[in-house]
Amino acid sequence: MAKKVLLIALVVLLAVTFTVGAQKKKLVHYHWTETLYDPINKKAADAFMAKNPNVEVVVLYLPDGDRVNIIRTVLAGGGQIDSFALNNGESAEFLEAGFMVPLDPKGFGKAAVKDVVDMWTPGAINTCGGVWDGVYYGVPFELSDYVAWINVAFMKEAGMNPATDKPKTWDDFVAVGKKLMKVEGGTTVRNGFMCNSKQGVFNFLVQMNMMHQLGLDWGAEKGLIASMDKPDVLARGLRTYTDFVVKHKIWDPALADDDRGGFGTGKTAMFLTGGTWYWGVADYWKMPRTNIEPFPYPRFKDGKDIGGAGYGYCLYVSKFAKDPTLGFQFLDTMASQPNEFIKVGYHQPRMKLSNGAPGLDAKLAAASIPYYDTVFKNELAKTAVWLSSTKGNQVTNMVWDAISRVIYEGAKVEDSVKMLQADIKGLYQ
Amino acid sequence: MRKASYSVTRLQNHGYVFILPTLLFFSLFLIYPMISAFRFSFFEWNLLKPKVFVGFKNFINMVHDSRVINSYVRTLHFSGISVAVINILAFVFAIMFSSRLLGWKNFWQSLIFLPVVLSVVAVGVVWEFMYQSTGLIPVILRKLIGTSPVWLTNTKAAPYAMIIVYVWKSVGYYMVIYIAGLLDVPVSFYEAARIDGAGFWGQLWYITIPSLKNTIALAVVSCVIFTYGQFSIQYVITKGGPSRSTEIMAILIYRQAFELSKFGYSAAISVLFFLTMLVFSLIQLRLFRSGTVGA
Repeated sequence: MAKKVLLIALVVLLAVTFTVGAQKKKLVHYHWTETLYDPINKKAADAFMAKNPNVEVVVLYLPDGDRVNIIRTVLAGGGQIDSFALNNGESAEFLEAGFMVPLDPKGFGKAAVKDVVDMWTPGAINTCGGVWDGVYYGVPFELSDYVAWINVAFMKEAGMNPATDKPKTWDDFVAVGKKLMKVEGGTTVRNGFMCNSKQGVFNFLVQMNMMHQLGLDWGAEKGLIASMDKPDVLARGLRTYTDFVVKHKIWDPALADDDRGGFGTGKTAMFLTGGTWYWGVADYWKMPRTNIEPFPYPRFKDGKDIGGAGYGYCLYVSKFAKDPTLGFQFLDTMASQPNEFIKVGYHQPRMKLSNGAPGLDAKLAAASIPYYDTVFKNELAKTAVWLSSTKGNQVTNMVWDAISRVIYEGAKVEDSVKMLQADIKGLYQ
Repeated sequence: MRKASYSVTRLQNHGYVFILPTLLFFSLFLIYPMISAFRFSFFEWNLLKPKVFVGFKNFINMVHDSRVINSYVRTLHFSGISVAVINILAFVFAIMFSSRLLGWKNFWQSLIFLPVVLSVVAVGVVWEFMYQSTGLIPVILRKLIGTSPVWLTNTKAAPYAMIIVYVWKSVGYYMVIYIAGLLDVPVSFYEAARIDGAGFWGQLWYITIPSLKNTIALAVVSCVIFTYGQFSIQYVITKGGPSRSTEIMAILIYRQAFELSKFGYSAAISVLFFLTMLVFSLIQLRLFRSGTVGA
């Protein structure tokens, strides 16, 4: 009887061990969903699983607007989250809280972190928000910059020459905007320019660019706080932006709220928040590509040579990952398809793959993205750095409040600047 | 006194078993989150760092926060006007549909009730387009009166734009409540009034309104509670803008939590919100319990 019991126990033990051993490792990655990009991401996940048959990869595709809060909640709850994607406006808070694992060169088959960093364009990891306190955490997944966009069909209609008349300065921008503005029976039917009038972040990014051009360092908390002691410069930047609505009237917010859709449907002749990916958006709105052109952000005549806001996404391995090295191997695979993404307008700053193969093909990029060489690449080199702060969202709200007070409440720019100064100084006390 | 028999006691215990699933559901998804929210209101927490106990700091900050005060005032403004307009309109419609002079009653009632069943997000999206400067409403107003307010980008007009949408969406629901109330008024009262020479206004003032006191109380208090908790229309159409002129409490609570990651502060504001709703709910309970409602 005892022998029988012992035998059964042994069999059960072997069965359990075998089952446990045969169980696959599960890797859960949180990403955002985008119709054009999802199949490419799925291809990477499938390729990783084919190479690692004992690993099951689950990629959760989340609406971009909800992604960061879902990730925050899962991390707070200690749920299974091995890796996730954040943009450079979001990452500081998470990095400061210590939720990410520093880059592990073993995950890329490299000996040193420097070898990993060198696989991306210089400074890419920094611009994409993947560096904290001098330590590298992020695997760059996208690096883009905002450029200005103009409807050249409307330019020709207004008697302008697209080759020579695109705005170079903010004064030109106003002049061109006035010519492109269309009013019928006292009602604006086409804006010369518009930005998103409901979501503050886009207005913040354009305003941030202007502040950078005026010499204020809005890329870091220290610089932002220091800039609050320069009310004249702040006022100049705020006035330049709000005068589009208040004084020059090239932007009527009542016409439409979404600039990207507005540009695609002809409700605005210019907008300032589109990157290389906007070609795909324009196609969605059935706007003929021959009707639109990107051009460098206007500059102040006496300002710095700085382009539109630069932003990017990085992929991170979570501190809850059971096997961080495996996590980095997966992220390496996810970020190894720059030539697939560039065909759909999505720019990844990868120069070399881990196996030594070349990364982004410059010729393919130029062929896939109209004006890639002449506009996007040049502007990317002079991009305005997005504020890296753990209180970035609050700053964005405060700047949007400052803009809203002027354009919606009729407040004076100087008064709005005073309130902005008080808000920012109070925030960082 | 005889003890209740074993079978009666067992039957009473079975009652608890039947309500147990609902009780569990409410405990998990309503009671526990409410208690958690009260608890979080005494902390500073962004979900990423450990909670920091701050005592009443969130509540003290709230009192001095112009955003909270603005939001509270906006909510009272939105609720006050919406409740009044909805109930007056619903009452008028109910009176109209109780009249024998009006034809096609079912059609008109259905038309007025239809917005109630529509998706609030779809309603918000469509009304947003209608309010834009080249949208249906300004175009019609300009044709009729030569001018139109700038609905969604004027801080004075935007709150009323939200009220119009909300009233349009909700009036059908309260119309049904008033119709049900009117059906309960005995016809003999009106006959007697007519015999005594009372006209329409006399009947309305001395019979209809007093008879509908309970229904009016129910409708008004329910309307206040639902309106105060409104979120979707403002969120879809204006996101609380322009310049926070439509940032009612529910939106402020949402933004503090999910945009600014200030979950403790958001919880504190939600406690204020809860206390306000509690006052209205207690009024409603008192009205029901005192026998003045439903009698």
